[in-house]
Amino acid sequence: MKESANPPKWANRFLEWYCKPELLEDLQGAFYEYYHERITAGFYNKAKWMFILDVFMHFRPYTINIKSQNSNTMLLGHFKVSFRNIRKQKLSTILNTVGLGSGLACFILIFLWVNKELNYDTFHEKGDRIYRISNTFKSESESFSQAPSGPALGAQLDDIFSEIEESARVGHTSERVFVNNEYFFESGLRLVDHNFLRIFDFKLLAGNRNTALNDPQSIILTESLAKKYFGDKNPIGESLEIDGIELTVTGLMEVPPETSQIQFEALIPLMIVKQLWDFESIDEEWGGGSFLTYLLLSEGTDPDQLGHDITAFIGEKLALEGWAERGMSYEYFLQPLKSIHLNSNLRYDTPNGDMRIVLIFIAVAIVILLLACINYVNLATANAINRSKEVGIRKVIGAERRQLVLQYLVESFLIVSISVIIAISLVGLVLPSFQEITGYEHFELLTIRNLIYFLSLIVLLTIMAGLLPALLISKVAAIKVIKGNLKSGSQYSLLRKALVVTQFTATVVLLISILVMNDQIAFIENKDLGMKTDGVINIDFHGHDEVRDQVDVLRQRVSQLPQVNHASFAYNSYPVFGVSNSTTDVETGDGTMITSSIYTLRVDQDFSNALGLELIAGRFFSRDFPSDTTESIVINEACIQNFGWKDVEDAIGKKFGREPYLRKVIGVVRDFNIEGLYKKIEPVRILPVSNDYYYTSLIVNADLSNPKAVYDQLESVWKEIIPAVPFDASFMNEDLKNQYTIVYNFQSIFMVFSVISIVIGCLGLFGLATANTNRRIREVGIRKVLGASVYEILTMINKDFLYLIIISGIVASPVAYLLMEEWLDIFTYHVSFDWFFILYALLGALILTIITVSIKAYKTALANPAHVLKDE
Amino acid sequence: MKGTNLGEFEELVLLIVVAKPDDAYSVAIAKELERITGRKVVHSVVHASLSRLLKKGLVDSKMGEATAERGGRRKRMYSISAAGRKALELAKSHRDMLWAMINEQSVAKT
Repeated sequence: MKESANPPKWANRFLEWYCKPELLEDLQGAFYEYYHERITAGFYNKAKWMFILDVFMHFRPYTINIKSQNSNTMLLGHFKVSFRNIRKQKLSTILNTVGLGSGLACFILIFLWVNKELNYDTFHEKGDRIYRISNTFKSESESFSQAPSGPALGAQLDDIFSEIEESARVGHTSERVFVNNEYFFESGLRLVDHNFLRIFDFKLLAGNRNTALNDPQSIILTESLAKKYFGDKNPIGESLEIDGIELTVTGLMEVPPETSQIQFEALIPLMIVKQLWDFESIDEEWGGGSFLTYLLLSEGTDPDQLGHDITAFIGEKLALEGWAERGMSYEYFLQPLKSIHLNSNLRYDTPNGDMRIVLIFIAVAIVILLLACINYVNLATANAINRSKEVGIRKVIGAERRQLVLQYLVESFLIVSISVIIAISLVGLVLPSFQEITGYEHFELLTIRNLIYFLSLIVLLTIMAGLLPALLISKVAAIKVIKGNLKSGSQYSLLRKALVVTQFTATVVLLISILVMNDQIAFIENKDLGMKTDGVINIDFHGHDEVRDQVDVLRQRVSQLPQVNHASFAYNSYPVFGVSNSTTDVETGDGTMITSSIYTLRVDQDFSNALGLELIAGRFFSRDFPSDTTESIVINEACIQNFGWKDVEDAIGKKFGREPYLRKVIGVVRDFNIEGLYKKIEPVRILPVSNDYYYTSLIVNADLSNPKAVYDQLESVWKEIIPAVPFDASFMNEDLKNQYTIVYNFQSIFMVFSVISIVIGCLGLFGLATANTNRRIREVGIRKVLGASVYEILTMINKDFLYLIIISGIVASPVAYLLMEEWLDIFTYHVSFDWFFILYALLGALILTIITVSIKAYKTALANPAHVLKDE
Repeated sequence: MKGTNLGEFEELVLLIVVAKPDDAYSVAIAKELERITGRKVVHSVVHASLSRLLKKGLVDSKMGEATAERGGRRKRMYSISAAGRKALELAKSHRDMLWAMINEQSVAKT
């Protein structure tokens, strides 16, 4: 609020610099008055914008203070001449500003997004000293890295190691909240240690940072949740219930910034789990666990060394519990908080970004900017021939080269400035949809810092795009021009060709990338997941006892619905994101027992039918075999190779676990992607649930020709039987697809940027072709007189560009290949790079070129040679 | 200088200066114009117009009082000059004459 109380300083300074002193006070006062009015009306951004706009709109001859006659008149003269030139060459000005402007708009958008991605978790004052302790778990059959560690680490490490100042655990939980006689399912609840707010600088609006989490029966709400529960009432001191335990609101927080890796809607003291989950030994468990543990290290601690020390220390503890003799161990490592978002890819982590995608976008941004600059250089040098007479005359009259260079730089500066203004307006226009696509709600476009960036961008581009043409054009020797023996055309053509090749290369790379991405997305959409997800509705009741008491009634009632094929209760909610794994003993191919960590699903007898799993050997659990619940196990195909069994049939009868909980494999199902295509298929064991009290959700397989009707029927049955638990159902198909949102978004953003840069490329080509044909207009005339047809002339002009495309194709192919391999690598299951795409892309570039060039060339070819040749 | 001809916009601005002498500074004039014409009126246009009127000698100006929302800056208050009043009257007489002609014609028609 404070900051926006004053209009942008730089704009103010600019005004003070240019304005005549006798006009300044009144003008500045007027701008402040408007500004104040808009701020009062609540339009902060608009006020800032309009202030800047006003300052520029009043930059007019009558307001400008001409301080020292000499240099300013000169500069003013340059501006005047530049304005005239820009007005005179309408076509190339439009091509230039539109090309540069849209390129810059893309650049700015990517800049905004990258800025977010690279600045995660930077708002914590002690951020440089905060680390997360994660680990790599090893057993005899496997090894994987995961984010959560045993709960004892967070409880005890800070007492044991002096270099750890504080340690705090964060646990995710979803609970049913009972407040004001209403039930809500909340998945954004976090269980945290009482010192959480001493380590992290999340903003507390009300309550005491140091004590708010001391009483286990307290809760801190974020603003949004407080509003949902209590409206505008002050929530402090209010109470709500979680699973029958009453909690008092002791604090109110701001919603965590978007760029926070730790997201939450409410904080609950971790110690509540002693009551909530009957987890009395929480501070003593070194292994397992689902808590993320954060450490605040003292100044100058070596995190790698500390990781080793912790590994050694906990290794000893676990050895006492017999871990070593079963071949299992943890290796701990510390991740700097700020690097987690982009550089961490662990099991059971919160959703993260990906450095590779950030890098790809940075590359795209630079390419787009480069393309736009190249366009400018191309057009400017192509026009050089028209300008050489001007340069010659100026030199004869006595202009120095330095002045000429300055003149052209001023011209570039003007065009770049116009482009930047176009770009910023474009960005402002598309920002809402960009926010939707990227999932970020707050992009700050017009901060002081960004404006400084934009200004330096103008300067940089002026130099990048303007210096080369300025130097080239001003080089012309006056005598040659005056004598009229300036060779027309071939000047700088090599340079121009090189630039066009660069541009084509980028275009071809982008075209290939688009093709590969579409291919991969089609692959994702059509990949057989090994299970039938169409028509599956998952009703998540989060394991509430009211439902568990009614399992049989529910199963019967739901199965009776006409459209329902199967109804199955399970321990997980499907699709499962983050299947839990646990360790067990497994019989290997040679008959020995090893200890292995394996993914575990706990389900009932209808599960394979509900998800359409295919049995490739044996049978699934059945109610006809009551002993299944204690003696049987079903595994997936991946187990066979993992444990060194011979084949599918060999798997039947293999032993899992140890006495008295020994189980034998009764069936093998074909591999299925329970988590979607990001994750590799791993060995999975499927266990029957022995007790209704393990179920957390109901999976319904139904005929969904009318999904709404089925959904409504299920809801009404649900409400009738268990009114106290909210009906939380979703279509499995949609849930699976939702995890690819980021891929779809990435593709659509990339697509838009590519199309824009291709359009920019075409604009440049068009400009170039125009200059090219204008130069050869007489040649064309003579050829026509001598009998050339329109077709022959078009071929002749197009030919110039065709071999440039071939060269571009050769350069582009390896670049596109490397880029796309990197991108495809994000997916565990992906298509292979199809070399035919290069052909398609080249063909596409070829057609684009011919169309672009021919638009102009056709007109020239049709022209009456008499008109063209007359004035020789 | 192109003489003291009044443009249409200048005439409107000048009329407001006369009509609202207490509020005759650029921001208020722009708002009043917006209110009367119903069109969007940009401050820079009004300000340029006022400075032209000043140059032609049709208005006089002096610095007025300062207000808080202007960051303590004074506003330039405009008032019509004798020449300005003459120019306005001239413009009005031209119009009156033309309207009189139109009215006669329409009477003749009916």
